[in-house]
Amino acid sequence: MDPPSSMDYSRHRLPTQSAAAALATQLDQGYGSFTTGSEALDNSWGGTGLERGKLVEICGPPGSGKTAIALQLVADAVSKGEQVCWIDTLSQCPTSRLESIFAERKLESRVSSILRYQITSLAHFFAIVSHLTNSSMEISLIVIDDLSLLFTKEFPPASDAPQFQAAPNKGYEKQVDKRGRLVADIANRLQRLSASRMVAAVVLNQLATKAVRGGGPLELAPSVHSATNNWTHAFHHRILLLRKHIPKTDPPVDKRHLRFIFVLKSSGVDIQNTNMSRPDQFFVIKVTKSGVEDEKQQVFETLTGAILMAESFAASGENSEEHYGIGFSDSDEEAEVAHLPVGHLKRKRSTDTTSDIESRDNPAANVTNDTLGGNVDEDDDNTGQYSSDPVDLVPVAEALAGSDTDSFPILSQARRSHLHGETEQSKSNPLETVIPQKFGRTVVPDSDGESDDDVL
Amino acid sequence: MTDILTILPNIYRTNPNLRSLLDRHSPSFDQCGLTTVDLVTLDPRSICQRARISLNDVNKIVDAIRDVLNAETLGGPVNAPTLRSGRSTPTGTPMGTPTGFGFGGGGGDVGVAGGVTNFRGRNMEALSRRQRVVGLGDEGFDAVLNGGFVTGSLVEVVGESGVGKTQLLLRLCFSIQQPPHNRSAIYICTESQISTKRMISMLDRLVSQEVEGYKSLSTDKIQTAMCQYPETLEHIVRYQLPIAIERFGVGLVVVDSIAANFRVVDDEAGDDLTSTRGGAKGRTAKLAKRAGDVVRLGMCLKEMAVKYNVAVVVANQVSDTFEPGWMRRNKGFMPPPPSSAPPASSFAAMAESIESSMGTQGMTQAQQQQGGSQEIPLAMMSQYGHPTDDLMMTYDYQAKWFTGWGEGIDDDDDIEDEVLLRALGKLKTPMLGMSWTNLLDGRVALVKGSAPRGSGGEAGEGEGGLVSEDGESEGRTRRWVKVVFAPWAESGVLLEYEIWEGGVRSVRELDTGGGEARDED
Repeated sequence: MDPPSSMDYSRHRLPTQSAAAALATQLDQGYGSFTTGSEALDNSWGGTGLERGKLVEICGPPGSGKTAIALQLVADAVSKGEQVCWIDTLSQCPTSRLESIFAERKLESRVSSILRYQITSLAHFFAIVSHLTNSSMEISLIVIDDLSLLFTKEFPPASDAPQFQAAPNKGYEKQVDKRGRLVADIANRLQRLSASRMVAAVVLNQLATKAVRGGGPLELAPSVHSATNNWTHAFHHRILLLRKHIPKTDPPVDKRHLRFIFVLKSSGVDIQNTNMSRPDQFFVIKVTKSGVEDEKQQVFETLTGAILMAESFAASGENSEEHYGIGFSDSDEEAEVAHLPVGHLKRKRSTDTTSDIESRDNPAANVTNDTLGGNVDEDDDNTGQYSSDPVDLVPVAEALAGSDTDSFPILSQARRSHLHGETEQSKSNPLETVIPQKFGRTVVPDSDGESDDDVL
Repeated sequence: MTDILTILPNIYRTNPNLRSLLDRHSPSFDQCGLTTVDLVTLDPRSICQRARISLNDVNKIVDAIRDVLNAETLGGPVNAPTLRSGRSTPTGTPMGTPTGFGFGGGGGDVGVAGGVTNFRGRNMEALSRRQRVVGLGDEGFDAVLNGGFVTGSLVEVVGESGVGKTQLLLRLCFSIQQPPHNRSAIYICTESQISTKRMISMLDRLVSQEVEGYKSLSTDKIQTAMCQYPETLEHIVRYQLPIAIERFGVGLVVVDSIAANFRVVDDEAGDDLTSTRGGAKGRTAKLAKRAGDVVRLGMCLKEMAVKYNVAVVVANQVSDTFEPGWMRRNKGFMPPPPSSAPPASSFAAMAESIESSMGTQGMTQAQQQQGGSQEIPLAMMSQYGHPTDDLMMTYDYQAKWFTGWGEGIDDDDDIEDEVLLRALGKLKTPMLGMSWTNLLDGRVALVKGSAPRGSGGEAGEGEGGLVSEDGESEGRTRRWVKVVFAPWAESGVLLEYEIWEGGVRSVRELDTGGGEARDED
């Protein structure tokens, strides 16, 4: 994923560059990342939010705030001057909400910079994805709202009805197989799109009911999903939004807005598959009219009771093989919390890289909820040293500041020093807009060989 | 089976030569279940193997499909000959490679070439100009709905009978005629006769109001249709509505109600199957098939909404939910339900998991089992609301937040209104289940409850289904509207409303203000 150092190589030669140069280029680019407004969520996505080139899946039942998070990312990307592409499937983006979010940030004039596609079938979706992969448009964020509708349309319930199976034709492909193939295909193409174009892609996914053998309660599982994990492999981050019963709180909270985010996968690490003993992570965000925020601390204190209750139950149920989505609800749950005063959020959101640097200077910190005492949260965003390191308990104030945990000290140092020097400059660097597209073209060799050449 | 023509109705206009090819080959596509997606994702060679069509023909068809797909997604005029000729050359190239990457360079190049013009009409701004909000002409309602019902979306209005769904829908039919829209409405009725009397009295009332724009309202601009069977409904929606929409300048399509037809089918299924226990499997299959029908119909409505920029508002009924089977087994932490429900048969337990997702079946069964007692005491509801956290991923746990009923019964200290609490605490669920819910853009729940002393009579009242009966009977019925979810409005907001001659309106001065209090924060 390293960009070529120069473009004057002949097209016949393999463009190589040293790793150091690649790093430098990468830092030069200052590849944007987009924040969701929730610090905790941004942390789980690698500290600074959703980076370009990453693929994210957001699952959740209706009304759980999938679109809200997507809108927030869009607003953030647009405010950073990036080009955004919004793909509506059989629904339409709530423009009134988008506009109010934009108005809040004084971005009204830029609504028009969002490209929007309306597609109505899976076939169209394949068309649009390959178009985006091949075109030279400078897009840095793609939102697909939502993918599961397309699959529902293509495979309505009971579409594998007996009348089609009755006369088995040699060329007939079972709907199940076909669905699996298409899911894998889409995952593949999305991955290629995001990697080769350095695009952050957000895929929204609904939940579908899933009967469990043995007559247990009807479970919910992401609607688009493949049994062979082709689907989940494609994503860097996967989160699940749910709502949860919240016990009576002393200072009453408005529970309407609270959503629980379960991290299914973070920075390429499957949270519940890799290590079942590792506490699952969830945090609470507040989805309101004006966007997404972290919930304030008091809520978490009051939530502690609920969480402890969950832990007591966690010891019992271990039927997580049933399907992949239940793992997090069976095993321990624990608050992973970055509690922020709202004022801090506001500031954070509006400031640019300079304030990020300040926070980067803090040592890698683990965001914990110290009200939970022994409950400890490992930082989920360290790509390298994932396994069980000793964990520090960090006071809230520090945890707030030290949100960026970087597992590669050298890299982060380099980035830090680099950014210190050149933050402003890289913003205005005209090259910035040119290079990203070169970037992927050579890196992903099998992405449509011919059409790349003409750009290089 | 093959869906080329439904997905790409314009394909012959772009590619007239394709007609003969498709006519010849679509039977074999049908036979092996090859759909448009297959054609564009599979390797042409495997297509020709499976369908036993010559590679040449397959390539021609696939090329044509890709052209149209590209044109449609990228927004180029589909039938412009210049674009087509421009596109057909580049798409030919990647076709030669068997592992052809989707649509090849063709889409990219043309998209960029025509990009400036194409994309200008495709940005978000264009959508926001297109999206209209159909309000209800009532401040409170429009505030709760953040303006009203948005065109291009499929919204469900769900509630018990007599809660005012029809009133709200009729009012919408007049709203669409008002100045910003000036379009007409189509009202598809599946359940009972269209209440034209009510329509006219509402019209009279609205016209008599001295409000600008109300003068021109008329029933002429409401096209009505009656439709009895699910097949008819789907046919109407798929083939006849698009024409009607264009002809009458329709901005609003109302289906009242969506579940009625499916419920009829359901009763039949219930009759012949409850007698024989062995029919459980057949019933499951039928339920699944019905789910498929529901989804197909919903998809049609959605596509239509998007394509013609109409607001599709659908009424739905609620069914009673009852204690799920898994809970019954865990009687350890569940006190027996205080209601007089007899223990369910083992057969019911078997089919239950499907039912609770489907909703509708629960209606017939629950009525048989529980008699008329629809009021489930709050105590049980709070038990229901306290599942352990490892049940969090279950439908029953999450459903209360997207069905509209059961949310915040046990924990919401901020609802002080007894009647509202009772109303929300009823074990109700919208019909047609999760697969239908997923299709919806928004859901608006109408809940009703009556003052405590009237609660005894409430049970019997459910069957009456008196729509235009206002709640002046003993134990005054109070009604609330709640946005369960909608992308454009804040969810969970409650507002008390009442039915009057001119439709529905919010009750402004609330006594203890359960709804209003929540509203403000």
